[in-house]
Amino acid sequence: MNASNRPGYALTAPLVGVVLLLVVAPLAVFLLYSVLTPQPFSVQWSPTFDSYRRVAGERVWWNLIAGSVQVGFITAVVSVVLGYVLAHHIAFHAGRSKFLLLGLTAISILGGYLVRVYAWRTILGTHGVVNTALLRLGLIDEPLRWLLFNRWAVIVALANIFVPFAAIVIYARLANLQPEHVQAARDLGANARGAFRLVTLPLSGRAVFLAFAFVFLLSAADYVTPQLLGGATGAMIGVAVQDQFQRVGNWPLGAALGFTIFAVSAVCIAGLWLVMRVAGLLPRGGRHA
Amino acid sequence: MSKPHGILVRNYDRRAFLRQMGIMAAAVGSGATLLGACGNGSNGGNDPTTANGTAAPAIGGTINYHSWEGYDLLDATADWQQEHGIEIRSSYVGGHDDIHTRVLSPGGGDIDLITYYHGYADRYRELNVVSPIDPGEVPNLEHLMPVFRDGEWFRNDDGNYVGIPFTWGGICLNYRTDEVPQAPQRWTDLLEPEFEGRIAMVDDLNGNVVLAALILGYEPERMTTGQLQEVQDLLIQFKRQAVAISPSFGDMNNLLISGEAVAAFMGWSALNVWAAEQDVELECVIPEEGSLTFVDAYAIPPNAPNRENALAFINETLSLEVQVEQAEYLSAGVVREDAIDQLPDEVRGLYPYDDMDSFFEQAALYNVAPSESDEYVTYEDWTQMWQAVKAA
Repeated sequence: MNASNRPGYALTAPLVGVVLLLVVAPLAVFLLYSVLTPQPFSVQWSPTFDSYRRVAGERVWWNLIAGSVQVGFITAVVSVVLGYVLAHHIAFHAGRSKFLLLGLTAISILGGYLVRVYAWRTILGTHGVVNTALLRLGLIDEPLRWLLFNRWAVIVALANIFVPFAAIVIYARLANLQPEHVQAARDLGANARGAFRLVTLPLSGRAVFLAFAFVFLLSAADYVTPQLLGGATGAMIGVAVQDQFQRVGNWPLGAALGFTIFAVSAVCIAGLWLVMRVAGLLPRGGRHA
Repeated sequence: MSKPHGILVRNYDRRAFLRQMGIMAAAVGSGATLLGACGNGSNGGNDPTTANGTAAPAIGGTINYHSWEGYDLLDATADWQQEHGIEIRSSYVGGHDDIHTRVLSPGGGDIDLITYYHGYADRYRELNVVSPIDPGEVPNLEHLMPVFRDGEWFRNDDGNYVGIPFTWGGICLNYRTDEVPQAPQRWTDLLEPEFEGRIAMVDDLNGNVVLAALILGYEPERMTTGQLQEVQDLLIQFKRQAVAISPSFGDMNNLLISGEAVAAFMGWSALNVWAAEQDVELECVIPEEGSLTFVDAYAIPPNAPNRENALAFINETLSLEVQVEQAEYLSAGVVREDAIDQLPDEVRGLYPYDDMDSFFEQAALYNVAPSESDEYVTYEDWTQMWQAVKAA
């Protein structure tokens, strides 16, 4: 650490302290609980890896984890694609409406989570907006029951919640792109699509990665939307973790499940990083753009 | 003598010293008196001393309630609260497990009053979630119907209670009369093709497991591993017929009202009343395989800071007026026989009060599985099985 960096370190020290206290410390306690012996709604201070052995050996958890990863992945893809389109439009095509659109995007985040989830029931339900419209237009003879209470309804609702988040993260990067880079690509013969693929997209790759990771992690771990919209087949791992802490009182198993999901998610995110790097969407360096 | 830097030195003599000591003594004395008048915040406002000098239970202050919304009976006991200077501070749960989770968590020692249903009685004893209540501390207990007053679930061998029953309800098969022309006779009728994707289930571990065990003819709290596997397989069959596993009875009711579901596996008689408010007619039947009943009780966690207030509240909820009002408000059963005739028709009609013995034969009260057992499956086995059902 040289003298010129000391003020920077000093300024970030409070933030680091907050992160250590509110994030790292609880996680460390959680990790400790995962290797203790369970007692009903308590633990015995006797270390064991039995909880991890149970997670590894019982198929029910992996079924739930697989379903959660699936929902998280699809939700993240949909959210990032739609969010990117929105962010790109705001950054480059909105003109004077830019700040209005940005404001509306931000305001949409303020809508209550549960209100949105229940709203999707009204929209997708048997007697909901979509079915009523289709029936009145004569496009269907009977309501479409498959619109609601399945994994796809969960994905739609979660994407509705997370598209604005993804859009804002990506917009923050796009707004700081130097237009000269795109102009240079066009001057060198690239058409609009080519300039986007070769310049804009790679330069916004980190924001795309960040948005994807954010949406993926939150969606995969969600346990409210699956209960309300997922129907009989929409169970996800978050509910199982909740049950271990609330219903069973097996805190070590709940903690072990939590860290297993953490590890699986980390592998997924790392895999995404690798894919994007190979695809050229995460160029090395590139601090100045 | 020079003045110390920064300190004002008075002309100090013996008279001034004594005067200062007197002021300080008066200040200390009045402070103590003031603190005593303020009381400890929980029982303030009442003289705790009786005429013969012994301490009498004084009430007044707060009751920290943690359980289902509605069970705090705020409206029904409003006059009583005002009369005794009591404020009920409520925190509500989304599921039964939230109750003991809160009490057992660090910091849960501030809860004065909870409720729980009879099936948890043994478990709550083991987990030390509840404390004993002498029947003399709740005089209105003597007015309860014997089946509730003398029931074994909430009474210890020494005669003390670990829960005071105040309401009850029956699990039944609800169905929409406009969509289901003929009442289902058996729970397994819901497995027929016409109910595919049209039944509602609720995420209630205990009720679902007990019901499935009854359908298969097993004793719910004494099942073997093989029997539990059969219960699991049966529940998965019902789940495949279900539109959703609702997180609550309220959500189950929404599914029935909206028409997403036309019948309920493990429904509740109160749903009929709620649906009627939305102009949807439900019927509720007890199928041939039988059903189950739940009895809810108030209880006081150990170390409750306002125990006397909680006891007084519990006693008040067993008064005739409050019993009638709670039954109407909650669409639930009463535990006092003299309350039955005062119920509105639609509430009295929920249960066959004229033949309670027969009703309890059809829909008995069952315990949950034991916490530990060498012979039978345990409660944790139930829980893991239900996880497997939900994940299937």
